[in-house]
Amino acid sequence: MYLEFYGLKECPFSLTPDPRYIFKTESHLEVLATVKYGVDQNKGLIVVSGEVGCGKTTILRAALSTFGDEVLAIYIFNPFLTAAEFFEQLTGEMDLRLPRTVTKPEMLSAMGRMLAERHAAGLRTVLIVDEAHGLPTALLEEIRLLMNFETNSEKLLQVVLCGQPELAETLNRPQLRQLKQRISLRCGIKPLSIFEISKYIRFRLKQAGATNVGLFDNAAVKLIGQVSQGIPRIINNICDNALLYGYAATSEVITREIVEEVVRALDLVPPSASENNVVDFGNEFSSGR
Amino acid sequence: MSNLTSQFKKRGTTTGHAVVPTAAEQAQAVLSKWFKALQLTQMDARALRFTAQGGSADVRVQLEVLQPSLAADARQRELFYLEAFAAAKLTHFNIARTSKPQETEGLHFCVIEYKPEMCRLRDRLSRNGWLEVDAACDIADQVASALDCAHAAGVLHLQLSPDCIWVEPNGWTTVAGFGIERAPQLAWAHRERARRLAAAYASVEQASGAACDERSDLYSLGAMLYEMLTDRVPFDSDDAEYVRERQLQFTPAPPHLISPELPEAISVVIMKLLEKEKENRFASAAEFQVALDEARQTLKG
Repeated sequence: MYLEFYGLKECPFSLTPDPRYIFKTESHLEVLATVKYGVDQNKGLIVVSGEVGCGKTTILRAALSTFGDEVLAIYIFNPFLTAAEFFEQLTGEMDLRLPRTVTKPEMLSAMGRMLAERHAAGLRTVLIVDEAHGLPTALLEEIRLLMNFETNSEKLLQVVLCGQPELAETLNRPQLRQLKQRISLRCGIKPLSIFEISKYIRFRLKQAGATNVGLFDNAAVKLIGQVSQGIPRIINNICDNALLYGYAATSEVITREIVEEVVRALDLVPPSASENNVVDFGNEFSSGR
Repeated sequence: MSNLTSQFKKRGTTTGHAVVPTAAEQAQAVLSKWFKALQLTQMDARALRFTAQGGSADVRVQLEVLQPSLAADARQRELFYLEAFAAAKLTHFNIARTSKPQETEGLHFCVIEYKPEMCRLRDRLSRNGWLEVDAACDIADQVASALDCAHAAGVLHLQLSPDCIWVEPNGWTTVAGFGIERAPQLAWAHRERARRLAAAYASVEQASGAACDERSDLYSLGAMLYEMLTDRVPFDSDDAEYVRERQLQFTPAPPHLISPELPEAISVVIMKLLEKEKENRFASAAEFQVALDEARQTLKG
């Protein structure tokens, strides 16, 4: 493997989430601050959106880790649940220990009691639903009804809906207008800018033990930016392969030529773009902002 | 032979059968009468920089030569002399010793202390990314000592960035590139120096052409310390206008949010250096040093 060749202690571009590798951009910090504020202030419904591979799940987990024992976080990441399965998972995470024969009114009543007790004791409860853009309308309506657990001034259950940009369209469905009205905070995770991409690569190399974080030359970073459109998951994939190719070629620096080879091998460039040797990249990358 | 030396050797242009020497070649020809082993190390719109062997002690030195194309411009020549005279009056362990400016055969230059083992902070950051908290704070503390001495002598730097900080392997830090007298009648020269400074290190007043003082240098020091600890500058772009807009509208993310291992107390000190209004920054480099020292106690505690 390339680790020794590049003086690395571990793989810098692994796709497995690792809190040590969270590269905090402005939008990450905004999401962290928004979620924390929303939960601390019992704001009710928070919506977090971001493109596939932008690190939504990673950043949500990071947000959760900032809370102490006073916050019970229930994390649901499977959008393909029926309402019954959803409630089963929810009550299980809340440790309500209800009998299997419990009726829905009984279950909601038990849940309401627990939320009220926790609130009275100064404890907070947060429901985080990942991949929320894929949730059926009926289940989103059930989530809305859970938000009716409230005191005169505060919500007893804080809800974070997290999903791809299509989540906005989902919430625009006429049947969900009541849910949409309850959104108190919205924020988004943006793809990395070209400056952030360079820093991101250097950051991960450093975390992996590199003594020289300038392994990727400027032209290589620029191409990675163009092809990845700033999506960290794609950047990781390209960089990991580029180190492998670089190692095979005994190249101490990862050049644009190496990245081009990787991009071709991973079939990352649309065929029309590769024929013209032009990559279609967004304004973010051409403006330098 | 350095890359730059070989570059300019190729750059001599041919007109008919005669080869016209470049400015660097002409300068080298003149300087070689007094110095040995001349090597061109840097060349920009304002100056040519060589390393050389020579002087009274026959040691390695740097030579900074005003670009011959600017020498005909009285204002630029005046600025070069003002800068070199300001630097020459400073004597401090953390300031590069600089000779008074000299002129010979139409060439304007000054001699600057040089130690081959020194590494530019810019190169170190480029290679290492962020530094250990202690190492970064040690460098910032030494830069502050240099600034304190210069400010006491009435000299501002106004071009402080990792490009003019030199660090030895043992951490000893030398600030080069001083400076300009604080005198209000030199506001034009202050603006000229600010114009040369990369936008990421320029305070709001430098970016907007307003009056500068000691606290403008403290902003640049804050931006450098921010970079040393996070591998990022407070506002990043190659578009200076965009940096300026962001700087006016937003507060940078406190560095401890970017680097969780950084004590918040140090982050607070950096944010005070980066205040938009200079009145809200530390009043002096010495005051910053005291605050940094106190914040570092949290590392030991």
